[in-house]
Amino acid sequence: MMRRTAMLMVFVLLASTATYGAQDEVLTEAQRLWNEGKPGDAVRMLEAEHARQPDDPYIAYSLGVWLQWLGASHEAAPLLRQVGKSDDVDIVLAREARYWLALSELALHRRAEAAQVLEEAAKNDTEDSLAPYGLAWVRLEEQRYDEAIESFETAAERGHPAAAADLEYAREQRDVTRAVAAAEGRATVGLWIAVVLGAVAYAGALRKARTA
Amino acid sequence: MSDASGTRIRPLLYTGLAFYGGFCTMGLEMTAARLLAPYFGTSNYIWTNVIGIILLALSLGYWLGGILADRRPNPKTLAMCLLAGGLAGLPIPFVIRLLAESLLPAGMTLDNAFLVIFKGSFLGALLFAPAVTILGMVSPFVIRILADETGNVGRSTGRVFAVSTIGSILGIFSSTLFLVPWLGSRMTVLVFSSMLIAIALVMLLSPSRAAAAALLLVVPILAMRGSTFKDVRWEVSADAAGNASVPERTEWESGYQYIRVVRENGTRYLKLNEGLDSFHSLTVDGDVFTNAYYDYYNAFPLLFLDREQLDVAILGGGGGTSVRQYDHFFGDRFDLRIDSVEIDPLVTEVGRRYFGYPEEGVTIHDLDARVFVNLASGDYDIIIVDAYANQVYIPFHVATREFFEHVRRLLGDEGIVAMNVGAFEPDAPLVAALVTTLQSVFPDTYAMTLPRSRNLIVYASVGIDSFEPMIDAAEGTGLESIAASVVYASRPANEWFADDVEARILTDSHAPVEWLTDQMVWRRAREVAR
Repeated sequence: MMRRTAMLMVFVLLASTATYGAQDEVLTEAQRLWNEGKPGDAVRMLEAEHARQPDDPYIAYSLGVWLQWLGASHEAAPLLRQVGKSDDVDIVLAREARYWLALSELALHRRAEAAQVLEEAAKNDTEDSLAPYGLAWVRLEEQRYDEAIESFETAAERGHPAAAADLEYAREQRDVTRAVAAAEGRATVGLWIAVVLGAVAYAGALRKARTA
Repeated sequence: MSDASGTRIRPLLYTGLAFYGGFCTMGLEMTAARLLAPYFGTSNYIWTNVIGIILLALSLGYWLGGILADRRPNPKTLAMCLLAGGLAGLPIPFVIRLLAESLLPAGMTLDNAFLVIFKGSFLGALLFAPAVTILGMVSPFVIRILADETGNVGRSTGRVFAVSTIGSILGIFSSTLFLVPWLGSRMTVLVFSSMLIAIALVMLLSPSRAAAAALLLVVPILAMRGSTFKDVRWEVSADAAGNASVPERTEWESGYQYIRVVRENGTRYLKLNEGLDSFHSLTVDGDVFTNAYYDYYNAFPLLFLDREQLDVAILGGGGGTSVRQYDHFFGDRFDLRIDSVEIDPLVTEVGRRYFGYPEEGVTIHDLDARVFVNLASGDYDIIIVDAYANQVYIPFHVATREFFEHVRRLLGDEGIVAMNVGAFEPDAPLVAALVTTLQSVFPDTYAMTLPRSRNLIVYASVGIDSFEPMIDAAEGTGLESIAASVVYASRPANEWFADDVEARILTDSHAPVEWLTDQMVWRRAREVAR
């Protein structure tokens, strides 16, 4: 859980340091409100702006990110999807929007959709460290640890700052899961041994009681 | 108990043996579940394993006992059975710990632990089978001997059944209400076993030799009680402030459960039974927030800031995390009156000692939440339902329409009820049932998933038009993000599920909460296994 928090903090940091395009003034003011601990006011301001300019990908992106941060994944996902479909965004914003969309899908327990958002990007955009990083978290959520580790390694190679530490976490989780599977195997063997020993013991006791 | 001839024992004393056989059998059964609880929990599956194996062992014991009694109907054979039963019971507490520690790896979570816990608990319960089988042999033996002595088979059988059952009843009461809370489950098993051995020795040996043998048995057990085998363990290490006297890991057995306080990465957790990655209270060093679902309950009082007095009931108060947060954020703003309902008084005590449970403004009720709600009167503004049993189960009687109708009565004209629901999937049938049930009483019902958590908050209101004023009311309280989250992340109940999700209304007569929970857990276990 702590790791997930850390991951989200990285995302928020990325989002909060980026402002894009002609809407700088509104975005800067909204950012100020957010930074002052007034997330409700910040979101309201962006909602109003989004209502005025529904096709603006920068407003949609910021609103989507903040709604996702507040836990409103069901509202964030359509906004972030809209950013992905827009031709009017630079590559950095497109990458971040993909991430946040994947996070929204993940929060809505739509893991396949989350993976789909990132998988192709991780493969095709070799400069992008966020896509493999986000994909790794999706795979972790799916408990596909080897794939998660592979994606974290890719993200680390591409320079994602948190990937190396999270790679260790993924390895720990994989080891725990393997240990649990091994323990389950031991328990199954133990059960069979107990059943056989019990049957032998009761048969012996029965024979002894009858011949006593 | 031997008379001069060494073989003849009065019928009354034989009946006493049947009584004691029943007493030990049920005492061991109840204690078995408690011994397994710290490692495997006390879910329905664990109880099913324990009860199933005990009954199987008893039936085998009855069968074997009947055969043996016909072959050798004498007190010496009976005494040997009791001795064997006691000896079979003595190592159980040691072996069960070894078994659990060898079987259960560290770091297991609720997601991946289910199958190993189920199988492990079965193995653990099997450890009791030999002792219980031998105890099962006592009644047929006693019936045979009594019938031989009195010539009345029917009367002897009836008497043995009656007395043995009364022994069983007392075994249940004494173990759960007295022995386990007083001695701990491990010592309780040792006491039951050693008493069986002592009785056998009295039957087999002369009084002086029996006394000597009993002493040899009792002294090591008492020594264990006082040394490494005690049920309360203290591991002392330095806290952040360098205070070396702060116990960092502590455990107790209450009448209800096994309780631990565990400190990990700057957070202190209250964990019950097997714990895994679940917790029932927590405090984070230097922070009133918990980064857990408790934080979101703090948004609700923001709707009542125009009041002078705020009446809150917390059902499932645990170690007081919510009480502490309410006291922190609203203690100075309201005349805050909190009824905190927690069935286990030791949990409350642990909360006072380790989790900053406030002393003032709180009335503690050591009651079942449903009983409290049935009996309570008054007009509450907020009722929080955070009652859980065995990590995953919401007690069914605090999830029914009748329960929520009582809650509705207690809220009067204006108020909010909020419920913590743990679920691996937000649209799980369990969540659907809870939301639908709540909505059947409160038309304005909402649900929100929580970031970085498998918990949801399901809440409903009466007399409240909108939750949006929370956002403005939060300004300057430190709860701005929390309030915004509740407003934006919540969805009305009727938008929560796809149309194809089956949702039933839970009632007192039909509330399969455990079944719905088990379905969810099994589904998750299968996912993990894949």
